Amino acid sequence: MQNLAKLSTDFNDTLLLEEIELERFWEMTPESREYLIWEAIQKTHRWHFACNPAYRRTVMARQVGETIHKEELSRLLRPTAQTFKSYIDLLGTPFPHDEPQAFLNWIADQLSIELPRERFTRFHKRYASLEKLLGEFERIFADFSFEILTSSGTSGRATIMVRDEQGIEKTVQSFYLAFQRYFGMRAEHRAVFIMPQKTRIAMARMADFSIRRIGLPKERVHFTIPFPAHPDQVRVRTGRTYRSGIQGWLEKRLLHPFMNFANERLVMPQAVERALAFLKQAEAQGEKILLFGGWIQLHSLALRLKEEGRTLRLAEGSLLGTGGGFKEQYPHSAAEIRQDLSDVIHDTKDTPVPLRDVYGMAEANWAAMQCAYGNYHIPPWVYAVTLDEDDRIIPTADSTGLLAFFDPFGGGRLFPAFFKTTDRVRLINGGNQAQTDLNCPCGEEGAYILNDSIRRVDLLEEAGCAAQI
Amino acid sequence: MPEDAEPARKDHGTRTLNITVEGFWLPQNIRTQLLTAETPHESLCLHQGRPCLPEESQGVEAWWPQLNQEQWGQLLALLEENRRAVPTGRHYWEQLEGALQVVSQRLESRHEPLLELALESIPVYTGYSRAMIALNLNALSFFALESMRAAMRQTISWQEAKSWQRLQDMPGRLCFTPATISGFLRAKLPFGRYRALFGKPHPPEHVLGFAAGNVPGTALLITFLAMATSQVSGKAPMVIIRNSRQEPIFSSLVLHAIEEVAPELVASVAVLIWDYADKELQRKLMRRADLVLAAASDETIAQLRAQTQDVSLLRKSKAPLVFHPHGHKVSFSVIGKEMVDTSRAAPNAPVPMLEIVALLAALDSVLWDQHGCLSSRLHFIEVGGLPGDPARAYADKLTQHMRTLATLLPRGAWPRQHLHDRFDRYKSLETRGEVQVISRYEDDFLIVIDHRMPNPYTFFSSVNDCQGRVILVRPVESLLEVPRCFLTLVPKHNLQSISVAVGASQQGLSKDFLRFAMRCSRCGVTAIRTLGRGAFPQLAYSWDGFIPLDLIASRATGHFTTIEFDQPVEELIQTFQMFKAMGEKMGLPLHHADF
Repeated sequence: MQNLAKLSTDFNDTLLLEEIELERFWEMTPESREYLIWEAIQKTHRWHFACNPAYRRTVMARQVGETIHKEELSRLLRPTAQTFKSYIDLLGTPFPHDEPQAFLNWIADQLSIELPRERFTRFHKRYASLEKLLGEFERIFADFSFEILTSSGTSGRATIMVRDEQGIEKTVQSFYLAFQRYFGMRAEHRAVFIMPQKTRIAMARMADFSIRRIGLPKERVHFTIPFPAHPDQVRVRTGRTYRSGIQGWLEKRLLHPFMNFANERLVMPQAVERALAFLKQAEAQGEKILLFGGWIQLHSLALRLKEEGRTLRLAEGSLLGTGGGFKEQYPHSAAEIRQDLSDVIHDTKDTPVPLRDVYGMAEANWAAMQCAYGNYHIPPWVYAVTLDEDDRIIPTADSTGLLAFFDPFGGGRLFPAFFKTTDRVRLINGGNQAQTDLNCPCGEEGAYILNDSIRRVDLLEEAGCAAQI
Repeated sequence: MPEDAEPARKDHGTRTLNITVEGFWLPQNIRTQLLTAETPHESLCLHQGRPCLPEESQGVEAWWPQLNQEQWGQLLALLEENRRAVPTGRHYWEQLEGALQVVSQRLESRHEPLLELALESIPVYTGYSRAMIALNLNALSFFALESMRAAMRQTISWQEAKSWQRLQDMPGRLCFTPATISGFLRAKLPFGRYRALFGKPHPPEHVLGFAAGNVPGTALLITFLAMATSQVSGKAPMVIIRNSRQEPIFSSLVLHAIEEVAPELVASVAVLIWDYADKELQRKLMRRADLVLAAASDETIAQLRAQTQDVSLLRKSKAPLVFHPHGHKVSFSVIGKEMVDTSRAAPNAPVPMLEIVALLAALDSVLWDQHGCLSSRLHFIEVGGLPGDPARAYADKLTQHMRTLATLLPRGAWPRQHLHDRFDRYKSLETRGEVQVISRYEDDFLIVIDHRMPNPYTFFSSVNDCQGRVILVRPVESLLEVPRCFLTLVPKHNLQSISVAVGASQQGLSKDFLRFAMRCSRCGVTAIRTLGRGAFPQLAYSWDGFIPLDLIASRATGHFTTIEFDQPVEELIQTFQMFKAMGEKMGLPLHHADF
């Protein structure tokens, strides 16, 4: 524990990151912000270069050393689609609970802190599920306060991320500042999430923590899905990755159809009904509401209200939030869903309650919140850029390319938060660009992703007649 | 070229010139009767293989007419009439070979308008580099068309289902793999030699083709295959091909050029573009067709198969509608240990065999930037019993040649992101000591030596990674390990060809090689050719399990595999010499690529 405390002090001393409050970035001039971020990127890089084997190996292979130059910035970016999924390639299986030791070595390789490897012997040879293995990891390394989070895992192959107390604190701080700044959230709301509370899905966990950080007491935060969503369950439900043998057959033939049936017919209708009950109660009591759910769940709720022929009138300042995009095929577009919601959920002045989208990902300790003009504002302590098809930073104030980001202040100490995403976006005033005539009409300065410009990119497009097997 | 086929050049003020080209082909006498200035048309403008607006960039615009129902009726009637003019029997193929020789010479002459037009339009439209297109236009000599006559005269019996049989009057061997239990049982019966595998010939009267993707020439390949049936028919078939929007230019240019030499050879052929979703038109064309040849994605193939089944009952002809699907495929290279020995000089050449083999293997993966179904993905290298690290020696040599080829035959306009991500991915796997990345981050290709134990997950992801010049070198103890441990993992319908470098000079095909080849054929491999020829499909041999006789007669379900050579080492040297000569002619110093 002493080592751990020293490590944490070393990290902060080296980087001097603790001295800067994240909210101060909103007050800085673009020049001072750029200066600070560039300094922090260099320091963060140097620290992780020394301590993080996986990062060091990656950037060294790209001819990057301990000291970096500005023109090398893009070479520090690791692909989100690979970095925390690389265990699959390394283990040769998407089921780490079959090979806990190899998985532990992989985790140790990904982190910038030394894991006491003698504890690896405490793990079993196999685990019945990924959830059991991840739970065991958190227990055995409880003194590190690790939390393992996953992506929503639409491919059935989850991104597995480790965060420690400091990382979680940074993420929560980042989320709640954004909630406050862009959504105007205060402690007077009642928050209703159409999602499970027991889940490792990063976005759900962070939203929960951040809302509480704002000061909402536990009894004013509600999760309407009473069942847990462990990574194994998410995998089977998505129906794209199964175990081999009889277990796989059972998963595919029985469990997957059953889970989908149960989700569509029982869990989701029930979750929507519960959310509706909270909304009606808030309407009756004149309470401000933050309702957060996926597009499809929010749409179910709107359709349910339409069936009843009812229009809710919530207190002014209420807000609907969504995130994660469309994870499955759905016959209605976001615009149609917005329209249906605005038809049935109003405030007391009979104005439709605003619906804001949140853009984020498991690998990021920040989220971009949608403003009233539909644009997604990136917190100013994050240095966001776009990359062209050859992975070069596009040096213009209005650019379209793959979104990449450097988050030296909010990224935590476990790994460098320098990532290249798989989303193609149109980014305004990203990087060191600050063209005032391009500022968002909402009045916020800084980088933002233009409304309706986020596209998931399959990096390998089909060109010829070569097969993908 | 006819006057109306000349490119129309548009000058958009100070912008670079745009080129508009025809993305269709109709015989001259038909186009004058059918097309007018008022005929509606559709066009697509591409720049570096991606859609762009004609007025905003240096794109190339291809256009094609959109015929109405009446015009389609007229087209079919005119093509039917033209069929009479097309020569048949051996004359057809002799004349075609002669015409292609003339076209080939034109494509090899600098400042020839046909070549200039091809080089101005196809690279911009498809995204492939200019040098890549130029090399392939110069490579018509790689298509051994003369074997096509012999291919149509083969006598194939059930003996082919038991073992490799020599092909008659052409190099190579052939075997048949039945796909049904009854087929396997019939193959076991004695006197296979006396039982014909094919039924009575029934050459098609009407052939319908579908070509997809952006690798140039698929429509042309289908045209030649369909017209090859004229050799055994009293009347040439009518051939209608639905071409790819992604590359409609090359076939059109070559057909124009053939028409200038011998218009009757292509008088019954039409290459157009229409929507698969135009169900009425599809139904109309399929009801007429006896044979449907489709080279397209697996999804499109499935749709077309369903459509052929739907119309089967409504057809005018009593003969069944034959469907030859050519879906998406994967191909590999296999290099025998005798080729890896650095001290072994190539016969009659002052360079080690390894140099030649590595260059040819590189070309098999470089051509079409691994976007073709014939492009080699993984290179299996036999290392059993060899001293040192032969896989590393091979990979180093391959890397050298890939680096040279990256300059001589640059990669197309594809994002480097894919290469960089793969580089990172395999770099991260180096920690376990089973993977070694040989190339550099800056290279326009990726070479990796992969020693991991094969399992379906790692193998599938490796195969899928190998596109856009990503090569995994897989050391194997013996050649038989390739079919036993790797090819069996690939779905049979996805396997296409393997390019090989094996054997010794003047030794022909050894028993061991034939055993290996048989195992490959049972896994689903349909063509085995020597290194360097991977990207050049041979019409006279098996294409996805169909041989030319399949165009005119029916047989038991299953697939053919052909070995396209008798003397592998000699053919390797010959291929090397051909590339060398071609490089010299084109000013590409392939001949001293790192030698």
